[in-house]
This record gives sequence, structure tokens and C-alpha cells, in this order.
Amino acid sequence: MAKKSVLNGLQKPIVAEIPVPPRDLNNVDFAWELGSDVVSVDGGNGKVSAWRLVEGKLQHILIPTARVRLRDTKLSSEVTSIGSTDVTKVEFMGVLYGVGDGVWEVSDYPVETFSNSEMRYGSEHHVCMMLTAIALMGVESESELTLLVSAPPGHVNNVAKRMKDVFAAGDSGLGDAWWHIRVKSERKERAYKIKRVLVIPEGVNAFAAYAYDANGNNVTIPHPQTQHDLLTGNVFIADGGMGTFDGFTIKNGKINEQSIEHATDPNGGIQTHLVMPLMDYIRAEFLKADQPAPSLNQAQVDSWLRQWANAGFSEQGAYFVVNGIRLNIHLIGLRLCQQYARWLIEEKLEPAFRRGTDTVLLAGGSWVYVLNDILNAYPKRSILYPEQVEHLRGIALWELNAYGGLPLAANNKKVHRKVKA
Amino acid sequence: MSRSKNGEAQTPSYLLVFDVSDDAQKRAWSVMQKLAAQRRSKRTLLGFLLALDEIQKRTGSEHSVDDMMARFIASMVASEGTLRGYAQFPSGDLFEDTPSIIVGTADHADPDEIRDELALSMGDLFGDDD
Repeated sequence: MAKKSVLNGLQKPIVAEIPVPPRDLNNVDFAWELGSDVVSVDGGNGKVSAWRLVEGKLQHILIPTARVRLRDTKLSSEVTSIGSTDVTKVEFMGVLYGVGDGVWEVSDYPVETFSNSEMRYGSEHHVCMMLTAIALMGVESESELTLLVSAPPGHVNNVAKRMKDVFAAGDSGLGDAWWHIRVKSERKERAYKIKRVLVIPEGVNAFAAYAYDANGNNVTIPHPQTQHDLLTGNVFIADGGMGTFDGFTIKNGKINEQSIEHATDPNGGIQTHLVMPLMDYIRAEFLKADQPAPSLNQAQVDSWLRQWANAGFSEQGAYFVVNGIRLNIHLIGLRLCQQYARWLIEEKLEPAFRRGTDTVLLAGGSWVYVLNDILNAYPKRSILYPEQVEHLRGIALWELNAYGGLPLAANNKKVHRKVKA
Repeated sequence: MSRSKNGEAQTPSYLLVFDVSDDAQKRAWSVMQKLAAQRRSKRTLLGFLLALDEIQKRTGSEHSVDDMMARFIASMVASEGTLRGYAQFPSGDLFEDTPSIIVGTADHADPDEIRDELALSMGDLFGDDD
């Protein structure tokens, strides 16, 4: 699958083939279950990711959950000058924002991340970031959209109605469900009517990503020795994101409601275990070297970690510059990853196995940093991650909740059509 | 050669005597003979000592030579089975507990039924299209 695409300061969507053709592709009555008006959006603490199917191909985009207010100023063409900073700009509810990686370097206004709070779901910030992803993905203006959105399982009961009500109100608040956003490089603003909002607990979408192909057909995942389907029995959904770690059990296709209530650990994500300790370490190193402690923000440090991960966790991919000083985070990064792996094993996976978990289903960006340690720790356990299953190959761990909304919706249509027939 | 109290060498030379009555040292002597014949004995020893120093600097902890050798051999052997597509982290001594051989419960429903169950329990999400 292609990497993130940024051209001329404007973040562009990625178009990719689906990993395997759907099982019903050669049926005489084949049709895609979902139109391009069904968009699955994971507006998470660390990133916003939006996916849809367009003519049998996957279109998606990922932006960090961070925006900064910008002044609407521009150097006149009469001024002879060097090039100015390139940044993706959107105008939402009358305010101009910069979005995308590196945006924290272009404005003296504070970076707005609004993470790790139940209040963020359905907030103006949350809606803005989701509509930004939809607009930058190029979803056609004047479209009437069905949005599949997710929220942490521990919060979903409290926030689902609020999220639906907010979208239904529209940006005018008049209840027309119309929303407007302008990508600054475009002449006209985009208008979207959000006709339907489906709120799914995070992790359930990820389960659906493993359970169905892109057109909602069942896919079984046999255990290599016993041949039993790995999604049957007790399946522990282990969804580690930027802010929260969500862990709950789906037993033979049914969500254990008791486990949902306390599923969300707000101190279990990348933010607590990698970003904050790394920021503390960098500050301490600066002070040790008699330098003033740098002003860092979490989105910026998260972007370093992502770049380091994309570079295969190599030493060469771990160089960054802060206040003109070159840093290498390789060794401290490895140490923090190892500590995070140990914490996940001790606090999340061991208790899950003690409760009789058959399969651990991994989702979320946390696992990118610890996967090998986890697999080394449990060579005989069933631990599912996308590269193991053909129909998810190339779909990143951190994309499973956003992508998974599509197979979940497609399967729901299929099953209920059968029920009605 | 004059030595400090803790046995640290003070001059930049060190005499190495192999006790060939000891099986391990006899085996090491045989390797040393081969290396010496290829004029590589000093370079090999230097390489090992530098590696020891580098690892101690990077990990911030001192290891015994036996521990170091065990790790070196384990990592050389383990790297043969590296998982494709993911970078390896040094696991240190975190995971010495061998996991259970239990592969799970015997309570497994029909795979198609559990997949349909998920859709049915959510209700008809697109029902208002009709």
C-alpha cells in the first residue's frame, strides 16, 4: 500500500487496491455493498483517518489530530522574497487552521490536540478534524454522507447520542445536518449533509476488519494446528492507540457488556508510555547540557516516533532537530518500547490470558512499537495482526478501526438483506 | 608485570596462557591457533572487547562474560528466524517465562454464525434506506 502523500503543502488521499478481491466478485449478481457516500472515520486522539470505497478501490487519508490557528496573511506578489512556509489550510466555522504534520512549526498560536477526554467526542474540535479529513480526501461537495465513527468502548455509551445530535444539528445549529468546510487552496467551500451517523465502539470495527472482506463476505482465520476459527471462542480485542488502551472480549460474536464498561484505560496509550517519557528525557538532556528546556508538543513528538517507525526503527531514522540541536532518539526509543511491551504484557495480556482468552486481536498504533517483543513473549498463543491474514495485508495496525468500518457496514447490509428476503 | 589491587593491567600488554587440561580452554586455544595462523588473533580479541564495551555503554548495565557470550550466541541464532516486515527490538531478559502450551478454550461456535451474530446484534444499520 502506498505511503502518505503530501504535495505542495496539501495533504492528498491515497488510492489503493483492496488486499484481496471480495469472495463474491464473480457472482452474476455481484455489486459493491457500499457506495462512495459511506465514509468510515476514526477521529482518534493521535490521528484522524478516513476511508471509503470508490469504484472498487480503497481511498483513504490520515492526518494528525492537531490544528493550529493561522492568520489569514499572505506575502504580496509585489514583494521580492524567498518562498513561504507551505501548510495545509482549512477554514472551519469562520476560523483558519493549519493541519498536517509539521503544522506546529508554522504558527505562534498554540497547537490544539484535545486528546484523552470524553468531552472531545462530538466537540467542535472533533467534528472539525473529521470534516477536514473528509474534505482533504476529496469527497465531493454537496454529498449526503453516512459516517461510521468510533469512540472508545468505555465512553461510547455516554458520547454516541451527543455525536449523532451534533452532526444532525449542522454547523448552523438549525438541525439541517449540513456542514461546510473550505480547503484554502480551493475556490469554493465544500458542503456535506451528514444524513446518518453510526457510532461503533473502537475495537469492534477492528474485529470486523479481520472477520469480513471489503465487500462484507465472511472470512475465517483457521488456527494453524487445530484449524478452529481464531475469531471464535474468547477473543480479546487489544486496541492500543495514542491516548487510550481499549481491551474487551468478544465471545463467539457477542460483546461482553460487562467488559465494555471498564474497557478503556486512559493511561494505556502511546501518549503515556512513549511520548511523555520521551519528552521528559529530552528536556532533562537539554538541562544537563546547560541548554534551556525546549518547548515540545505531543503531536510533534508522536510524529518523530512515527517517522522512526517508518524508517524501520533504524538509528539513521532517529535524527531530529530541536532548537537547532540535533538529537538521536534511537536508544532511548528502544528502551521505552521495551518498557511499554513489558507493561502491556503484565497489565493487559497476562490478565486476558488468565481469563481464558483464546485469541488476542491486535489493533492500533501501539503495537507497531512492541509487536516483536509481544510475539517473542507468546510464541504459542494466537495473536492476530494484519500481516498474518491475506485480506488485511498492507493495512496498517493503526488503520484497522477506520478501515474496519467498511467491511462491518458491508456485512451488515448483506446479513440484513438475507434476513428480509 | 606490576598489577593494581584489583588485577587491572597497567601496561599495554597482557600475557594469555591457555590451560589445555581444561576442555573449554583447550577448545579456545585451538581457535586461537587458527586465528594466529591467519594473523587475526589480536583483531578478534580487540573486536570482542570493543563490542563488550559498546554494549555496556548502550545498555547502561554491566554483563558477565558468560552472560555476554550466551546473549551473543542467542542473538546470532535468533536472527536467523527474524520476522519479516518488522524491525527487531533487543528483548533483554524481559521474557524468560515460557508461555503456557494451552492454546485456548474448547468453546468455539460456528464461524459463520458468529459473524452473522455481530451484524444481527447491531440491528439493520441501513434500514432507513428502505
